[in-house]
Amino acid sequence: MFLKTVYPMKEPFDDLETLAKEAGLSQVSPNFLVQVMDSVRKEEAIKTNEIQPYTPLLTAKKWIAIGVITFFIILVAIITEVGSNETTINFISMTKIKNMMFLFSLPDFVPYQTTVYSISFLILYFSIQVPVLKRRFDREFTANTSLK
Amino acid sequence: MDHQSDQYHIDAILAGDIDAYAILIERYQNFIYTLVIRMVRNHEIAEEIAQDTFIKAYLSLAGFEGKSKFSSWLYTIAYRKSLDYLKAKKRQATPVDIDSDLTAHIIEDVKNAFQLLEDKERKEIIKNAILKLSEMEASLITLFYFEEKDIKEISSITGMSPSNIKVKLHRSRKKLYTLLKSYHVSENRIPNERAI
Repeated sequence: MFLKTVYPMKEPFDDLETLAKEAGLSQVSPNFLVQVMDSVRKEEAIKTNEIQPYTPLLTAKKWIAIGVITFFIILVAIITEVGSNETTINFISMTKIKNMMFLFSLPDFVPYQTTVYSISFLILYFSIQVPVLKRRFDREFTANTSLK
Repeated sequence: MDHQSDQYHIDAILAGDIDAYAILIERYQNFIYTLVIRMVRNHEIAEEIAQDTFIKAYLSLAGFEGKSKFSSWLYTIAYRKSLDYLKAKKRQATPVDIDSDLTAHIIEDVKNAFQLLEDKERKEIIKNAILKLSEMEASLITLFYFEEKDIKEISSITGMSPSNIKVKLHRSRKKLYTLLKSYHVSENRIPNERAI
């Protein structure tokens, strides 16, 4: 009613349909379907191969358990090492510590120069490779996730 | 030709059959592309937006609740993507003045004259006339006449109120007739010029 009052010429304009339909639909390029399906498959592949959140090989609980066990082993070893002629209170003396440190010290070992150089180069190699690989992985994964 | 419903294919896709999506793309690709090209007026960009529309629809398919038609849902995505592009480009169509002398007699005259033209020529003229409308008007005319969407569906696609759409559609029709009339006038002039 409103339109009829405001626009008295409504009826003839309504007859535009036949004329307007004459223009028909525009056609997409022949490879349109293939391109869309390719993109859809890529998206699907990304979706199924989503980056899994990092889960450490040993969980915090396992580390705590390992820590507790190690502590008790060391404790038992120390107590048995202390011997019967010393009290358990003063067993933590400098001499005992020095003796214990001896357990961890290596026997006299003079490495070859070649070995030293090899180890140095290996350290250098890893110190360069690790940041480079990290940057590359970061970049790739960021690119993949930004597609979503 | 596949006559299964859209929902049938959607269920198949959600069950893991990606290839079922190709049927839906084939079914709607030209409709979506027509709407987009009439808004962005560039073939490459229109294809890109149409592709993005289908990809976005695929990724959001699980969220499609079926409250509206699948086609309307696709049009909504395509319409919004086209609008985003136009906003980014800040594109403005050349305004078309509505001919105040557009009487029912002239309209009939225009229609008759167009019926006498060759099919191909007529199609081209109408296409060009639609492209001279503003992006909004062209999209409304396309949705209303080509995609045969009713006012309620167009309202859900464009986010405009039904009364606003009715008013805009009326103005778009008037503008289109004005444009077609100008073609009709120039068409009439050509045979006379040739005769001279």
